[in-house]
Amino acid sequence: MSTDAKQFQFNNTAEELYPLTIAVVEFLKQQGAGEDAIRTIKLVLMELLTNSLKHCGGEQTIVDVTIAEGSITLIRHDKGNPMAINIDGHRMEWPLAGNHQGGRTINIYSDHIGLLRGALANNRQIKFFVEEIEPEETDMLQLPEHFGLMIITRACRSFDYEFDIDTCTNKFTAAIAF
Amino acid sequence: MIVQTKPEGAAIVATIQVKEANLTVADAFKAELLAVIDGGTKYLVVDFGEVLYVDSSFLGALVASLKHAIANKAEVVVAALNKDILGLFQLIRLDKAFKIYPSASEAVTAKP
Repeated sequence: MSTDAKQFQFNNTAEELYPLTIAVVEFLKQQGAGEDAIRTIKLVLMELLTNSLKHCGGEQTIVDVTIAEGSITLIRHDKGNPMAINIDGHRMEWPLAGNHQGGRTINIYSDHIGLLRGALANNRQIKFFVEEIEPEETDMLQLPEHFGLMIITRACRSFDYEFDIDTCTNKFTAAIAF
Repeated sequence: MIVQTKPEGAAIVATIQVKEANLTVADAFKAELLAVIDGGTKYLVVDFGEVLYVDSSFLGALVASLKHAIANKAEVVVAALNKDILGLFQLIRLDKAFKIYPSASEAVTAKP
């Protein structure tokens, strides 16, 4: 088994978004990544970095890029604000309160063709997935205006988040078919 | 200015001037498109020909503009998406919400 990996640093400034994405793309091209994988990586990385810029709170963010066994894995780590999601006016912030969360599935938001859901492994880990909806007719006025998590989840083979209680670190892991 | 607007017959073509269409320009982009729609145009072509990439914030602004247009009985179409941007539209099915044209001139010609 061969594994190639490289770490990138993001200082949470808008000016770095595109150059960092291009640096990751260049690394992956050197490892033989094809056009489709590159296109997907650009989308996913851009959203991971944008999310960090919006929500991290100015802390430094690290992106580990690994290629192994048919997958490219992007892992975003930071010690900034933990993930928080507003669902129907109710704010869920990680780590979630209580130890009874494992096995629950939550609805995060839906758009005109898909429902973004999250499977809770425990009060610290969530795995995102999309349930497709057969659209009857798209009601344009009901279209969502927030697409970040949906873009990453749709583009990836798997996408999950974990809050490490010991180190107070956020960790987003996105795996893309190579 | 994020967009440069130009009348083309009964249409307005709004050409995005930035290469990086991301969260730093999304709010201004939305405000400018809303102002064009409030100005009375019924057919707005958003030209992405100069844009390298878009992020979810910018797409959110575009969708908000579409909703505002619908409320004003106007239409917003998009043109000249590069392969990456077209792929993003298709990924989250925005290709079902917007008419997509290869170029702004074709979008203008296609005006019903």
